[in-house]
Amino acid sequence: MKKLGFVTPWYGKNIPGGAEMELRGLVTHLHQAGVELEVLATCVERFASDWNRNFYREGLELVDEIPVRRFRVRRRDTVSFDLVNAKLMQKQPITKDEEEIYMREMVNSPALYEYIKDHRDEYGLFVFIPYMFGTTYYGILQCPEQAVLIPCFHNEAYIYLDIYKNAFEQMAGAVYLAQPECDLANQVFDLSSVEQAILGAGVDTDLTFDAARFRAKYQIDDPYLLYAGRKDVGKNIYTLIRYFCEFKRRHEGDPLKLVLIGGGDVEIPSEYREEILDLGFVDIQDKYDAYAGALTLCQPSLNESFSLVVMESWLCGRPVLVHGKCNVTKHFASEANAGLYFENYFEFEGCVEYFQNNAGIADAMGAQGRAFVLKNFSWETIVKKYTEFFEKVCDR
Amino acid sequence: MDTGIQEINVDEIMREIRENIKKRGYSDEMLSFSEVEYEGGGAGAPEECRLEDLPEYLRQINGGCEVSYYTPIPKKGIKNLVKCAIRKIMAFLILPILAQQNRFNVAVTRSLNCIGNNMDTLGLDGAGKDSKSYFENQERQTERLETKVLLLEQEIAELKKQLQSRNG
Repeated sequence: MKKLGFVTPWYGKNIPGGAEMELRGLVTHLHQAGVELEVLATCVERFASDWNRNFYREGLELVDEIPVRRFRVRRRDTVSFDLVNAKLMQKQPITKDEEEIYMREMVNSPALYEYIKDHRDEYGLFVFIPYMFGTTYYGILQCPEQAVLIPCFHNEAYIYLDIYKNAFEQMAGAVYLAQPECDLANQVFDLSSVEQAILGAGVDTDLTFDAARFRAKYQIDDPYLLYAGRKDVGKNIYTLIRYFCEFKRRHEGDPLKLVLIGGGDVEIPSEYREEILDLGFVDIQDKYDAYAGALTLCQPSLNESFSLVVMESWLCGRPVLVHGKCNVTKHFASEANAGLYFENYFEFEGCVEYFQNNAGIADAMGAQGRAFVLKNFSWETIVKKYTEFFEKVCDR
Repeated sequence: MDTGIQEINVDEIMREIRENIKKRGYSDEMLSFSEVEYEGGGAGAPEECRLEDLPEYLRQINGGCEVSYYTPIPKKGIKNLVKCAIRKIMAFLILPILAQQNRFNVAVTRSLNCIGNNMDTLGLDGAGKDSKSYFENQERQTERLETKVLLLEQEIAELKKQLQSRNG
C-alpha cells in the first residue's frame, strides 16, 4: 500500500479535541507499526484560534516523528460565515446559497486541495477527519475514489446540510467509531457505494490505578459518583448536578458524594458544597485512581461519538452510568453489559441505588467493561483493523 | 464487535428499575425541580463572563434572534410524515405566539446592539478606551509576540544544529 495522507484542518502535539486526539493517536501508532504516512493540515493552530491566521510555517516538518505537511489558509469572510453558523446553531433552516457560504467561508486551503490533486498518485489513500470542515469537503472532491472519511458524526444541524452529499456519497470509504454513528450516517446519506466499517478508536490500555491512593491524597473516604471531563453546559453537567442534589435531598444521611475532575467552572448550590467536590484538573495518574475508587463514572453527555472517559473507567474496573438519549454511550453500555443508563431523574436514582445495593454486580460490570475495551480498542487491535480496512479500500 | 460477555444483562436490569419506578408510583410532582429538557447554552448557566467576548455574543444574537417555526425534519420515514402533519396542524396556534416572541427578540437585540456600540460612552469598556480598537490592538500585539516567539524558536533550533555539527 502506498503512503497514506491524513487530511485534517489542524494538527499539533497538545491541541485539545476528541477528533484531534484520535488522529494523533492513530497516526502515531500506525507509524510505529511501519505504515508510511503523512499528515496534511493547514497552518491554523487549532479549533479555537483565528481561522484566518497562519500560525505555523508552510511546508513539511516532523511532529513527534510524524511528517506534517502544512498549507496556508485562504482569507475567509467571517461575518458571512458567522451569520449562517448562528442560524445553524439555532437549528434554523438555511438556503442552498447559505450552505455554499458556510462551506466556502470556513477554514479552507486551496493550496492543500491543489496539492492533493497534483500528488494523488503518490498516495494510496487520503483519510479525512472530521466531517465538518472545508478541508474535508473540498479535499474529498479532489480525490473521491481515494478518499476515506472518519467523520465523527453527531446528530446536529450540520450533518443535514445537503452540500455534504456532493462529497460523502461519492467517496471510497468511511470508518465509524460506533454502530449508532454508522446508522445515523446511512439515514442521512446514500452510502450504498461506499465501503464502510465500524472500527472504534484506540485507547491506551497500559495503565495502573489505585483507589486507596486517590482517597488518601484527596481525603475522600465516602463513596462517590465521578464525573471526568470538561465541566461545560454542552456536556450536560448541570443535569448531573441537579439530579445529584435531588438524590441527596431524597436520601438524607446517605454519604454519597459527587466528585468532579476536569477543566471549566460550574456553580455548585451552596447547600451541597460539602457533597459536590470539584477537584479541577488532576494529573493523569490521579484521574485513573479516581476512576478506580468511584461507585460509578457518570457520563451525562447527550452528544458523544465515542467517549474516552467511559473506556477509561472500564479499564480501571468500574461500571458507567450514561444518558439513555446518547445513542453511542448507551450502545456501548448495552453491548459491553458494563453500565446502566437513565433518561430522567427517577431512572438516575434507580441506577445509583442499584449500584449501591449490588456491589458484586457493579464490580462484574467493571470487569466486563475492561475485557470489552481490551478486546476491541487496544492500539494493537485498532492498528490491525484500520490497516486491513485501508488495504481493502485500496484494492477496490 | 466481539463482546465475549455473559450473564449480566443491563437492558434487563433497566427493565427492572423502570418497573420499580412504576410500582412505587413515582411522578415528577415529587421532585423539587421540573424535569424540563435543557439543551445547554442557556442564559442561566454561570460562566466566566469576559468583556472581550461581547462582540462575538452580539454576532451570535444578531444571527439568531428570529426564531423559525420551520426547522429541518429529516426526510425519510413515516414518523417524519407524522411530525410534518402535526406541525401543519399546530401552526394556527404557534405562529402568532412565535411572531410575538420574535418582536420581543428583535427589540432586545436592538437594545443590546445599542449598548455594545456605546460601551465607551457608558464607561463599560474599561478605562475609557474605545473597546473595539482596544481589543484589536491587543490582538495585534499578541500576534506580533507570537510571531517573534516562533522566529526565536526557529533560530534556537538552527543554532543547536550548528553546534551539534561543530561538535560532531
